[in-house]
Amino acid sequence: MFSSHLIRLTLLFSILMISFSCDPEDDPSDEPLVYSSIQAARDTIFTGDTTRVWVEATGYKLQYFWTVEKGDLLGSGTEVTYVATPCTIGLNEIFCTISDGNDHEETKSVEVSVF
Amino acid sequence: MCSNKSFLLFLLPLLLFPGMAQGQCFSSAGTPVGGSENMGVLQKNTLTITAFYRHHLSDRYFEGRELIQGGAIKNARYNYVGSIIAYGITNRLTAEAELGYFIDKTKYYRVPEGYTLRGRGLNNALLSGKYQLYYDPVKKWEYSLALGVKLPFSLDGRRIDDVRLPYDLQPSTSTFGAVVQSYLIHQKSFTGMRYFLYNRIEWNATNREGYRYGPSMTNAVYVSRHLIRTSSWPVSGTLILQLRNEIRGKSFIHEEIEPSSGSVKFFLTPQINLAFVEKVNLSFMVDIPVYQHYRNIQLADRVAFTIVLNKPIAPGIR
Repeated sequence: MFSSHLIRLTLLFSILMISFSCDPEDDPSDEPLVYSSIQAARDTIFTGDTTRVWVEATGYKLQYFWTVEKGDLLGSGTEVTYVATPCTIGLNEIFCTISDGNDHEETKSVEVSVF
Repeated sequence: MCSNKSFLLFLLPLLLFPGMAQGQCFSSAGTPVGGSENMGVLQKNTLTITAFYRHHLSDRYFEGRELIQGGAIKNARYNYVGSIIAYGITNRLTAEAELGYFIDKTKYYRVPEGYTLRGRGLNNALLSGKYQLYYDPVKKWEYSLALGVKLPFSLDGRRIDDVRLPYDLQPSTSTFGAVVQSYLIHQKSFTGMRYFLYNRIEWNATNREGYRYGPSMTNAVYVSRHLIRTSSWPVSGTLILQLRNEIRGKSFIHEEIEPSSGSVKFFLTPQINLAFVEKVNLSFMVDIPVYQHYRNIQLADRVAFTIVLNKPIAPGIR
């Protein structure tokens, strides 16, 4: 008697768990990639100076790929520090490509002027 | 003395590129030159293996020829190991393969303080054929020319934590290139003196990211003299003095000139070579910059040293 109740309870709990876990609205892999912005703390700096650059985005298993043609980028993830080495005089575009676990990706850039 | 014809052949690599007066080197820790440049062609079926280690330090900024203060980078250094395998296909033709690996290529930052950025990895491989164009066994003159191709191990730039390394910390050019080297050697048997002129010119193609490292030209004059020459002593020594000029051309990003690229440098490089029972050669050399001129502001060379180990493997030599 007791064991049949236990089996029923276990089954009920299992069904509840499966139904919750299969709810498509709560599946994190369906979370869309929303790349809101890329910003630099200062858009004009001198050589030898630095500025913070960061991105705001939401999504599933996000990865952040940073590149710049002139100058150095320190750090990783959602925020890096841009270092204006001597070769950076002029306008410099810093790119961040964000990709998610569903193979979607988006690229944005921000410009920093170096004097 | 060598004939007019061979003299022109020797000049040819230099005359082809008179406009290359500026060079590639933007805040760069640089790229080492191979360690076997003081070798002519090998005898048939002779194999030599050369391994070298090089440490290089840059810790000051130059604008033109002037030392300037400040800059975001406190210093930059690299540690590099390389090997050159050479084989004498005939008495006049030698095949060479040059491989190298940056153990680290690091920048230490003043701003932001305490930060470092480090690259590592394989440099381009160089495969070349060296041909002896002229040889006078009586007067001891030799002239050889080598043509080679630079091969990248990867066509993509290196990233650390998903951030692409700056071009000057990349271990390779990530593209193909070509190298021409020439060697003029003259020996005086009685005095034990050896004179040597070496030239090397490199070109690089544009890589996938649109960056083209500027061409470079190296010209070096060596004078060497044997120090110890007794048959009973298992070690013989050679003292070598090298005066080297390195010219790096401008680099380009998407066909626009990289502002801080291009340099002309002269180095004085004393070198000691020890030959152990004619089987293994050990060399130690120090690069001392005596003149540096940079286009715009660049991180300049301070000092470099190289240790070279060379072993000839030939029939009769174990």
